[in-house]
Amino acid sequence: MNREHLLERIDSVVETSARALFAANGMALGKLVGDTGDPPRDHDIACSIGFTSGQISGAVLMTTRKDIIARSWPSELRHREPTENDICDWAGELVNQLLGRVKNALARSGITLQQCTPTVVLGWHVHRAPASTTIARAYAFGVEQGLLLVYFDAAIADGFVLPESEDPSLASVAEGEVKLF
Amino acid sequence: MGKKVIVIDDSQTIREQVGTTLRQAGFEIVEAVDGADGEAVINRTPDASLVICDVNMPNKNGLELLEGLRQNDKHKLLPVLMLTTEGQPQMIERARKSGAKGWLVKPFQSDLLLAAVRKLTS
Repeated sequence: MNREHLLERIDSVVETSARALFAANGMALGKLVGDTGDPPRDHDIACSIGFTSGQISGAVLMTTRKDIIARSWPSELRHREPTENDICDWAGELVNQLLGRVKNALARSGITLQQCTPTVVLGWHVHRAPASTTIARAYAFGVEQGLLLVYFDAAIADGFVLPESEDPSLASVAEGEVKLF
Repeated sequence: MGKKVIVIDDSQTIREQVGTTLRQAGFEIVEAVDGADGEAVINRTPDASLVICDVNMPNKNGLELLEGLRQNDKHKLLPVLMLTTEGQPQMIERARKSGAKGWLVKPFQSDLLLAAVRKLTS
């Protein structure tokens, strides 16, 4: 698998996962915006979660504004306004679920990732340090009156291959499904 | 008083989301913030009808908690529903072999969660 093809596969998995995640929480992500440099100066929340396996390890990072995270607040809880602590917790859960979707997509190609617990940071003028990983991808989704940035950084071992075909049986329960034993 | 359900998740939002859904259906909710806290809450809630448990949590993960419950005579029949982002068959099989009664991949739909909870507590 050449590098260009690997990046195309990863881009497809991350973009599809992010769109599905936010759609499930009542928010449509817009088209990818071309400029994916540093986060805009109004981004005031960042959340990250790490992952590892034998051949690939890295992190998913998401930055946006707190009010954008608040707009995806679960429908069951919309009887009240989320506090700042709620927004931080929910941002951590969103990046957790985003990585969950990426993991389940990669699992269908036989790649098994282990994940960490998420970290959330509040602040202004967040800048991204130059990535030192083998893969450093960035996706800027347009959302109503703003942007949501997702970064996927990973170090891959020599010879890492993301199998072309997907086997649905390798991820036996899809997002939102229940399996009773 | 409704049947008692213990909800173990390190996300306060998820605990509240699950709790709101189940309280509206008449269940009583007891929360725990991670696997170790979950173990303590289970030990002091002998009348619980069901445990809903995340997998990836600090201190003790959900599968370790589940395996510990099955080795404890007091809790080995307590039904456990795993609620997680994980969808990998090896992990699901490990949970099934350890006596979990179900596996739900986040994000959950309230009606499906409620149907599963009703079935497991009936």
